[in-house]
Amino acid sequence: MSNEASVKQGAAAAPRSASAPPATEVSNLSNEALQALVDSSAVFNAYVAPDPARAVQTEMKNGVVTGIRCIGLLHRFDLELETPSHPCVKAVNVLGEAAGRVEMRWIIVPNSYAARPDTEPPPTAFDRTCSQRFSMQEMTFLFGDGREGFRSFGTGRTFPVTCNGRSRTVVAAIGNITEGLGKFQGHSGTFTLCGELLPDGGFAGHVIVRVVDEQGDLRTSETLPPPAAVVQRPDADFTYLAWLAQKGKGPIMENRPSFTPDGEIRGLNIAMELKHGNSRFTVDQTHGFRSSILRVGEAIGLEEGYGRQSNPNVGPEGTALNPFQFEGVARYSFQDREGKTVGAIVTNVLEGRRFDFWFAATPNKISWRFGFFGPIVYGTGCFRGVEGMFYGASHSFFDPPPGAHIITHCYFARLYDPTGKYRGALGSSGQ
Amino acid sequence: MANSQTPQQAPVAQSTSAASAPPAPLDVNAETYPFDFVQYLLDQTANFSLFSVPERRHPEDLSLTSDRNDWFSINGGYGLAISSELRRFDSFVATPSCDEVTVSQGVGETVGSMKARWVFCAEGCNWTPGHLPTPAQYDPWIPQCFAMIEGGFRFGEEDRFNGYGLGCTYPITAGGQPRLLAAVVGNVMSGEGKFRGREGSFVMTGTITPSLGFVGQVSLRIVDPQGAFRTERELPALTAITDPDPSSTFMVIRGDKKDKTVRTEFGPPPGGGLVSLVTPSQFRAAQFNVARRGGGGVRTETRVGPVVARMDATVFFNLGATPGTAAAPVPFSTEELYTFVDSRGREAATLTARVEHGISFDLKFPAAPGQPGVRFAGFGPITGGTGPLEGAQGILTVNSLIGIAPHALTLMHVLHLVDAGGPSLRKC
Repeated sequence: MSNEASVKQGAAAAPRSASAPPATEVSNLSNEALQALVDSSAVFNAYVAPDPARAVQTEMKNGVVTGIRCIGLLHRFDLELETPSHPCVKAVNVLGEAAGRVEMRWIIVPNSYAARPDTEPPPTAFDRTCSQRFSMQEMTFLFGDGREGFRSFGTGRTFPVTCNGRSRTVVAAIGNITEGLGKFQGHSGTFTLCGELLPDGGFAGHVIVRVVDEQGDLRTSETLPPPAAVVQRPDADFTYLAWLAQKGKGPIMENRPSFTPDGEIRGLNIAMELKHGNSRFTVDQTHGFRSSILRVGEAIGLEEGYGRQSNPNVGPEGTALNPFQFEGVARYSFQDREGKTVGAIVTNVLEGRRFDFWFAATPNKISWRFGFFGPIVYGTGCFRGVEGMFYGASHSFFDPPPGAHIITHCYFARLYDPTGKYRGALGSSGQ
Repeated sequence: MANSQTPQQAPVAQSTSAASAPPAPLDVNAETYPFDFVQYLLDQTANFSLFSVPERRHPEDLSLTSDRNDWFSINGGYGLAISSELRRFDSFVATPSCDEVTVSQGVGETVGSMKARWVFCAEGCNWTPGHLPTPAQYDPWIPQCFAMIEGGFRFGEEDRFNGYGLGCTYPITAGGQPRLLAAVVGNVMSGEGKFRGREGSFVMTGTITPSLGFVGQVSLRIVDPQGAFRTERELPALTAITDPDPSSTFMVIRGDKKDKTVRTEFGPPPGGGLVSLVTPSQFRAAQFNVARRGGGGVRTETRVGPVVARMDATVFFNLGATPGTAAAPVPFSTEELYTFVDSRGREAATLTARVEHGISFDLKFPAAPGQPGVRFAGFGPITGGTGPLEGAQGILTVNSLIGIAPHALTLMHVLHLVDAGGPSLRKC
């Protein structure tokens, strides 16, 4: 996903917020060191499943449902993409034991409404037959006994879909950490979720959390144990694919402007190398919350993406209250060990939210953490006829072309998969 | 049926053109030339009712621009690259009853093709031929408008034209299933073969498929005073293929005034400098046949059947606007009530619809100098129904030519009804 596209030359020239360090855009760090900073995050997959002991409460205004309030169980969730090969790209999904809970209060908002954590949105009726935006007025992740975690705020969107004749309400959202608890205190972070609203209004789905961890107090180099239990997923007819993307080498990887017929820059073409990668988290009484270090593996394909700023009339800054918004279209081609494409998906990121961030090690160089989501428009090869959503969470340093672009994307696809076409062998019991 | 006799007529009154006339009082019913003569001239039009069936090409094979290394051009991102066969289409509305409205329809042989690029517009869609609109991302969950920046229509090797148009998507839920309807209105911008130098309008209504194709009906009307397209010979009946869209019914009907005594009146002004014209008309079942067999290229034949509906339309437009051109058509909108009638003229059902996106063009009649006329087309949603058509939803397209003073009409309307396979609206 190419959130950098819209910025063009603007990041350095734009005014900075009062609290931000001066914008000099210089760093003495090598590209390798900047890449290590980008990857110095606690990146982990979790899954929110309804807590059978707690009923979903509906938010009501003027006699209509305007939102939900519920508590979900926060499960460990292992996602492992197998090396793409014929006949198809497959992933192992293992839903593990609950390791915390999530307290959620989601409110439907008007499409053009600018949601804020300190303002209650105007009442808007929830309608499962149309796509609506919502704000996560409360979204509190609590690990273990509840002393560690974070509060957050974010926005998302519902997508009514039909799977095999059955209507379902897919949801996706991007959140920003507003307050850390316990060892999360002082940490910035982003998460993106994708799943669905169940018939009772509760949420079930995946959350990719990406918490900046420059000091390393959330991560461990130890190998964390696999899930201790295997739990049935409420959306077992979906398979989640997970992969990473970073800049590769060679001319094809150079960012290029996209020009209108009149010669104006309308966005940026960005190529990426798709890679294996994963991480997990655990919670135990001795250590509390711990995330593994993000493992970046071998290349498995190519991203060809176009992106731009959603609203060209606003500045390039991305703050907690006014995140920078971006969008784009991209093709993700998965290749086998011989470099032959097994299948590809084309995605439309309809919503992207970017937050500016400065590492302590590079106080004068802006970095961007961001989340995004949108539908898979179509697939080719083994993905022909695929239906699902694409989403992710990323962190980058970006200099306009021909400058350096340091980035690690965490990408996901939630695919409707009633026959298990995309399901890896090891995951059968977990799905 | 097309009439090959060309009556010679002299003007019976001096009438101002629509362009130069003051907003009121213009007597739109005045006869610059006799009503029947103007009606005859309006009917010198080649009418095509076609059906777009997506070619069996994967969306990946098509792109929004010629530069496939610019990933803005990825099909399905900021627009749709449409590639369709154009097939013969027959739709005939049987005389309604109070229990049922029956439409027999069939999709036949391929007679042409359509290749188009639809680019979604970020901030409204203005008529700007030759220019790319500020693009917006394709989002099938929300209503969007788009510019048809390239529309290549081809009927064999010789006969082809390029069109430009505007369209919109309409996400609906039918039978509990989300569905994305789309409609387009456009103008023939340039042509070759039989289409060389011709004026004409096209509209289409249908569904965007999961493979990003367009399946639906296409109405094309070409002003054809020389009869280059029209034939009085009965064209062969079509050989139907399996219905490409079983959940859609298309009523393709032909409207005019019952006779010259039917008067058009000015209605209450809607504001904004516009006027409203209240126009009663009648609609007949019709067959708009198209064929391309043998020599002579593409040919059309129109046959009209019994009256199946009355229509009361209120048209909103700027009477003082400069007549529309291919570069700058004049917008209009309508509100329409269709009353379907049985063989005794009794009400059997109603439909309400409106044209939200209408464009109009100046129409000249070489055989009647000074006779003002308008060629116009548009589309909008079906908003309701009664009797057997209760709960109807879908899209209306209009493709029409009219005289101004006298206000003679030749209307080609399509009522695209979705999920209408229930007991009261029967498709066979």
